Amino acid sequence: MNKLTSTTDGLSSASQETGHLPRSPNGEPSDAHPLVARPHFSLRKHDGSSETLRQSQDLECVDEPAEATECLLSVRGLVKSYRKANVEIPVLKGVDLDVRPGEFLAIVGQSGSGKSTLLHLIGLLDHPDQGAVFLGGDRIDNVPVRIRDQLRNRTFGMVFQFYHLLPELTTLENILVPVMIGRSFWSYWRQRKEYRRRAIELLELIGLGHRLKHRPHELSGGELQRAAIARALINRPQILLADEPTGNLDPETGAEILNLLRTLRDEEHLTIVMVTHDHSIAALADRIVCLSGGKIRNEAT
Amino acid sequence: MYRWLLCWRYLKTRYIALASIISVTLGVATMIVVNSVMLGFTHEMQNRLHGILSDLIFQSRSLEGFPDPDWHMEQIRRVAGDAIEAMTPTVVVPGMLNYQVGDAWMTRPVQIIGVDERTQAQVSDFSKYLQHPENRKNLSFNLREGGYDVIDHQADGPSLPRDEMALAGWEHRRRAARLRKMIEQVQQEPEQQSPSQGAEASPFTNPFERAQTNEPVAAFDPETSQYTGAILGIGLASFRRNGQDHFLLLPGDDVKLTLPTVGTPPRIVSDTFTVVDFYESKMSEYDANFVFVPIRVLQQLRGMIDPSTGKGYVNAISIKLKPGADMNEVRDRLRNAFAPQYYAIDTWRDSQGPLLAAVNMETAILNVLLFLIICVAGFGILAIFFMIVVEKTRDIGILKALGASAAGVMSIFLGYGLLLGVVGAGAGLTLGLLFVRHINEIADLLGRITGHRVFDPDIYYFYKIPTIVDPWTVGWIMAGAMLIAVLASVLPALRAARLHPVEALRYE
Ligand SMILES: Nc1ncnc2c1ncn2[C@@H]1O[C@H](COP(=O)(O)OP(=O)(O)OP(=O)(O)O)[C@@H](O)[C@H]1O
Ligand SMILES: [Mg+2]
Repeated sequence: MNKLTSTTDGLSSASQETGHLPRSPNGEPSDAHPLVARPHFSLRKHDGSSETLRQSQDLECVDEPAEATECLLSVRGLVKSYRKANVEIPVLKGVDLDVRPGEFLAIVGQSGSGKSTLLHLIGLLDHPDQGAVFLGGDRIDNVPVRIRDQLRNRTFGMVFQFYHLLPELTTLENILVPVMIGRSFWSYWRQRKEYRRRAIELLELIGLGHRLKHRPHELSGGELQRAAIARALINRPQILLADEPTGNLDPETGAEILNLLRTLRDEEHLTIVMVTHDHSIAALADRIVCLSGGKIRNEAT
Repeated sequence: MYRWLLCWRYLKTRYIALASIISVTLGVATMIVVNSVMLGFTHEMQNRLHGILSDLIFQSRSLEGFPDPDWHMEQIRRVAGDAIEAMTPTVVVPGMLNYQVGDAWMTRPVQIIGVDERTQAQVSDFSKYLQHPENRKNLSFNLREGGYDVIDHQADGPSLPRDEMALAGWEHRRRAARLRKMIEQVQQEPEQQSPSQGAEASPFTNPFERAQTNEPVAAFDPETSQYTGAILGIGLASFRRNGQDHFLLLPGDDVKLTLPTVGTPPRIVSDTFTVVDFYESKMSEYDANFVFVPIRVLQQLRGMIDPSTGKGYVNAISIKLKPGADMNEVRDRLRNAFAPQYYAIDTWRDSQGPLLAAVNMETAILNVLLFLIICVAGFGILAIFFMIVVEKTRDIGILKALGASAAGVMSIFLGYGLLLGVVGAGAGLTLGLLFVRHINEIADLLGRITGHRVFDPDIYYFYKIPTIVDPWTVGWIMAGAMLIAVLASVLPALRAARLHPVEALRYE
């Protein structure tokens, strides 16, 4: 399963390390993995402007994520290809990426360049053929299924390219789905009022306060996009992964959503990785990298 | 939480799934109805059989019987006295019943049973089935003055009154005798008496008393005296049309019994008896077969009394066991103690074994067939669930992407299946119980619509369809139906659980 061990010596030690991830020493809820239950990174001191390019360090980073405290999310040598009828379509050919806490990173690339694929790998929806994903220095792409599910639920907030709201549920229920998934029936039931309040707060924050009881098919594209963002944020994730959050919107609405993301980044102490093919949208991020030919090419803001 | 929310929403937005549970509902309802009716019938039948027959029957293998019943009873008591509550000797012999209706003689084959009027009621429900309230309390072969039941005392619902029974008894006998005398006079002096007057005197022209005139009994006045009493099975004396009983003769009328004597070759003897009551066990083959007479009279008639000792032969000894005694164990003890070539010792269940087994078999087969119907419903659920899983592929991908575990996704569909099972079985339960509760009204309605009686009391001698709802059976049926619904959703649920989130998300 882990092809990395044969290729890179350093990674094997990383994977060994993850073999015995320390259980939480204090009174953390036992069902939450320490990776998941990690408190929010509060260090937002860095300006994220001057030293984004660390090509010299990147070479070291191939083995171990550089400065675990500084890189919240690191991707090393990700390789992914799809196989269809014995034809192998390589999509990612060794992607390296570092994201600092509190950063708003935009990944641009042509349609079909593999942006969504990369985001799915980071968000633990899929397994890479090769390479590794690190969260705060711990390798997360090969953790057990249960922890994967928890990480998807708590640590990452996913905004999908096509919104992907559940048609049977109202906007409010849709937004509460990650909360329901992450909690047992009773713990949800006991605190349902509180969760509801948070969901409504969030919806009001993103300007959907008047659409609580509407079904997805009764909402416009922009509203759906905002609902999807609210759903991604309801569990207070560390990292928001947004796949073309403005893809189907007119430029003004798109800019509005972008501004919203920036505000949220500030208010909710988020780290955002956004994927887009639109350079003008990407320009609103802190940092832009370019994905082409299956690799990351850096671009200055 | 999301599981139940989604289950509920899927149920509410997909009425097609409800179509699949209709068959579950119908299956459950039919199973409940069939089991209740079968159980009701079995119970009723067993009760009646057990009421008619005593717990144990100690029989001679020969129609000749065995001598000295007292000695036998003593032996039986020695072997199994601890378990025995009461015993009574009986003589059983096939015979013929003759009585006159109008000008015609009716002849019926019967089973003539000689019973001991003191002890017979102790071993079985015999007296419960009689038509005179006094006879029920205290059996007597003497004709009662009147007061026979007009309303069937065993009917547990409305039944048509038997108006003719109001006339039965001595009153009827005297009137018939006077009428017979008048007819004799008319025949002697036809010019003095008009026949229409005679008809007015008694609208119930029952002139077969004429037969008695041939009897060589001197100074026998039928107005004041009776022959030996006989209790007739009610089916021998009446017929039922549209739920109304019509009587061919009444207590107070005389009948003839013809039977073979003991000895080889047997001779045929015949004697006149007075009907004193009717026996109605509501088991038609008994009611149309049995004639009860005093055991001593029957023994004399058949020549069963040993002239040297004065003791009579009997055919059988009916034994009632103490409550809680093990019937089969006592039977086995007795079987070991008595020579099997002469004595047949059976429990009432043994003697009715084939009938009871047939009923049980019927119930079992019906249950299997009906359960198959529910299984078919299960396949319907399977197909519909597969469609729903395919339709919901993208949503399943979303849930997984948001952190739902495979088990969680699986339980959505298992829960959905369970929900359908609960709804279906619950509806079936309600429907089934309602049906059972109103089964007689429904049978009537069906009868009126089709013009054909669904449940014909003429055949069954019950006025109503007997039903018993056994909570255990109902529980099993419900559990089975729900289990099938859940099992049918296992495959679709597994498929949903195995979906790869990214591929599911890309599904259009
Ligand atoms: N399941 C699959 N099987 C085969 N090929 C696939 C599969 N999924 C993705 N691909 C291919 O991988 C490539 C990258 O897909 P991906 O969705 O990551 O592109 P993208 O950069 O997100 O494009 P867009 O901007 O249009 O969303 C595409 O060429 C696509 O055809
Ligand atoms: Mg894409």
